[in-house]
Amino acid sequence: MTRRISPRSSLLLFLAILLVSCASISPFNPKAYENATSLKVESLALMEHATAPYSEHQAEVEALTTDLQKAYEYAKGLPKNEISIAQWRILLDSERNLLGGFLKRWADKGTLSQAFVDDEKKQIGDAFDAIIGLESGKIKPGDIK
Amino acid sequence: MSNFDEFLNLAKSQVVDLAKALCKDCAEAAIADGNKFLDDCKPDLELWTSQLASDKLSQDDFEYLIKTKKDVAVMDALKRAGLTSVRIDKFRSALLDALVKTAIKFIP
Repeated sequence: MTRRISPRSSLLLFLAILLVSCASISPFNPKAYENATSLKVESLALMEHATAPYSEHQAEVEALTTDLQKAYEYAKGLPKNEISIAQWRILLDSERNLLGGFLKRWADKGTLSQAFVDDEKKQIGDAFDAIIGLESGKIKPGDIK
Repeated sequence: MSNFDEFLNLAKSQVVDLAKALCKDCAEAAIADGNKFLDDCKPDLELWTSQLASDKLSQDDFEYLIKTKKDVAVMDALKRAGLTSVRIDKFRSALLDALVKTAIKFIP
């Protein structure tokens, strides 16, 4: 015996599939948001030490770098998340001038000046805010009726 | 006029020259974009030039900070692009919701 699906159910199913398949960007992800906010705090706190020799904080930098890579990999695992992935990639790229570049510069130069560290902290904070602002602006489950 | 204002005016004239040389078809938009970038950066540029003048920053540090500013601008542009996608998705969702409600009225 076959069950017949009513036209109304078919239409609702079709529209539900359409809605899911049409989404152009991933929905809000609480873990991605938590990763970005906590790593912002940890990164800025570690940057504060960059006036001291890099060798004194190398282990902390390596631990932070691992956590940052985990957050990047987590973002990469989310579907339709290309824009957030691009943000993480730029933030962590040691050949650019955000966090990855800052940590490389600290390692290369040994110590950095207080003024430079303060100025970079503000900018890298802004860069994290761009990631956080995008994540928090994504559609949350309650937004979809 | 302060040294910083002179610097800013010189930078703005360079925006015009570069826009005309590199963006012939869109010079006006490029000039507006370049001037907005400079205006947005003005407080930081003012601070950094004074730190450069007082040797708190090296020239290398100063150049690095400017490049960081450019990367932050890219991060912001990505955020804006992403939020535009979110708005489009919300519109689609609302549209489909309205379609469902309308269709249900016509289906027995």
